[in-house]
Amino acid sequence: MTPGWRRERAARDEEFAAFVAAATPRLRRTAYLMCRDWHLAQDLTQLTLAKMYASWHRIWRTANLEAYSRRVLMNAVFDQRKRRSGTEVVLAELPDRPGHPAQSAELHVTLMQALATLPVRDQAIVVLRHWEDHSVETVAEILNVSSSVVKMQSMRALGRLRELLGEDFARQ
Amino acid sequence: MQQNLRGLFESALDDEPLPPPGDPVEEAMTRGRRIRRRRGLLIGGTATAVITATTVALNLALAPAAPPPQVSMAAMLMPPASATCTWPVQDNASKVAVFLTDTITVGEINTLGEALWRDPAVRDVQFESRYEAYEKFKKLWADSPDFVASVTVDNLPQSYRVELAQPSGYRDFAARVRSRPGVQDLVGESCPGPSK
Repeated sequence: MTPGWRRERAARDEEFAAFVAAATPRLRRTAYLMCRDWHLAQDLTQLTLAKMYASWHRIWRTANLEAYSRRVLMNAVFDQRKRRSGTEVVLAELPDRPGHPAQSAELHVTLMQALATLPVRDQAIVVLRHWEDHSVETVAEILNVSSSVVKMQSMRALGRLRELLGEDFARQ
Repeated sequence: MQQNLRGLFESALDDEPLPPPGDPVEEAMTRGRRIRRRRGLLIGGTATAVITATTVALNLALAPAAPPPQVSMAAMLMPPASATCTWPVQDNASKVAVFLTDTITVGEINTLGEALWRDPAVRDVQFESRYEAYEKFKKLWADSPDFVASVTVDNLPQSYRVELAQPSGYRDFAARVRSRPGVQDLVGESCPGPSK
């Protein structure tokens, strides 16, 4: 009885290691697009992996670990945002980042700044939908909202980005 | 628009630093185990608080009946150990109380119930609501009216009462069920009667 149980745990941990190897790079990038800080992105990614390991015995054989990990990550992002907003005024504009002055002409910098002005859930919708390429349904599942909310907010968010980025963006 | 959004996101990721040194797997496992332990403590916490408060209020009158903390909720809802039945047992339980968490959803209750029914070790499954639990609790503790008065329906957990086909199957059954969503605790009861 015990050897079987041990074997299963070893198999489970092996699967976890494989999952970490496969999922970490993308998780970290998605986290970065949500928080625009590589250090924080790294922390949020590690927290996500730890939380997943805490439930791993329950979830490891489920089909959509990918989507599940995004859900855990986004919840970590939302939590972090909530905690931070308790101590800080929420900024409408992104603070300058060292090495990337806010007035930079580079469009991707402007995009990241424009993204930061959206409500956090809309940011998540844009990133999951247009960088991660998840379907409307998957995004809805990850964020625990209905598909129509995803569609509507996605449209509104893109409209707002277009507005903020101006002609340059439309032409690109 | 979508296409160039992706491109822009990719440029925004251009300054990606190398991952920090260290083994992310090992780190996640260590931290994950800590999270799991903390979750366990939080879940056990509410039940323990109720029992601690009431035990203090009743002065040591209940002390002999006060069970170890990890089964404190069970203590309120399990019949006193007797010559025929004992709990909690780790092995060879014929009956199992599967206590559910406070936050369990109706969907999770149904899923769990189905899983229990499908489980090969199970002979019978009964759901016990908070109200049924409360009625039972009142009877079990009828001689401690102060204790009864200090507990409300909401303090008591919902549970599944499971009868196992083979007491020897309990350990494996517990391992399967313990980790399911919405399960707070399992208490095995052994009643080695004449039907053993």
